[in-house]
Amino acid sequence: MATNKRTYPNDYFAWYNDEDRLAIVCEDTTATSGERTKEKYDSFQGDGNLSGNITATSTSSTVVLTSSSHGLVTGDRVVISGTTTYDGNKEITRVNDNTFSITDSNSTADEGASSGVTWTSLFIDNGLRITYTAKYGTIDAQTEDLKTDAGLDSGLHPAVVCYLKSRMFEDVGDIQKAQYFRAMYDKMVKQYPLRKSGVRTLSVPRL
Amino acid sequence: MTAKKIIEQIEKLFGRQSEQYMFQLINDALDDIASHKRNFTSSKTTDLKKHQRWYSLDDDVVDIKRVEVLDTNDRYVLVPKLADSHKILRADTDSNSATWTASSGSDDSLT
Repeated sequence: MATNKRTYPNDYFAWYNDEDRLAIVCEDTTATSGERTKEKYDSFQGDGNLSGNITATSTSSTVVLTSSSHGLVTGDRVVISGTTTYDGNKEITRVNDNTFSITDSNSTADEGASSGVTWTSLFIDNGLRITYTAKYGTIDAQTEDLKTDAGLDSGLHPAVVCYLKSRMFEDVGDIQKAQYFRAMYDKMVKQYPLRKSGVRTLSVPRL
Repeated sequence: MTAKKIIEQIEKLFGRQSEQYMFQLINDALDDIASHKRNFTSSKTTDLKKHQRWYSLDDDVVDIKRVEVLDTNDRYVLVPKLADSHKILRADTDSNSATWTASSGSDDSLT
């Protein structure tokens, strides 16, 4: 796979988020950045980290380009250069490990036959990683385990039983028992994990 | 504990129950516990795209703990959160599509 890296130091990145989206911004380092805003921060404007040479182009209606071990997947965007017909930003469809296609007006010649026909990704492959508190997995089979399949600590499994009992008693109209098991459930969740520290704080009254 | 064992405990008290309803209650319990405990962390990666500001988050994301960007040395570097984004940024129209994939986390190298 072609793996040209970015050639300049990392931009100063920062992030923020709203309810269901994450925003990535970086310091605007381009001197001629008039394309979007004049703010200190802008969207990422660096080069992608994947690139390669195009060695053949088809002349069919769906243009298939050959690039050995390109590493691209369907939906990726690349910028193509060195051709007379296909230059520019394109969304690609992966055909196999060595070819991908674009939707474009097809040339009558194999433009990959000449040298200097290249593509560069408009993204950093897996360039963003988030670590987050997540919901537990879902259970949809009796054989599934709450710890290994859903990720719930085994100490909280009894709380799940209490929750179910609470809901079931609620269904049959026994509110007293439902409240009892709900209180049990709340207590278990609140107190977990039970940490028994060997250190006790000493309360010294003010003299 | 498996779902089967939990269902058996419930059925001892309440008799035979719908399997799908039991799964629904178990998943409700898991969601409720997740909203209280917030101790189950996970990580995932996606492509950092040129000229894209917004990346949509999957439904399983409750709260973002940290964000890292792959640097030119192929290491993930922690990036800070903007505390006052509303003051220095205006609304923009960058697209917000992103596909996240689960991360192994084995290449964790914060600098």
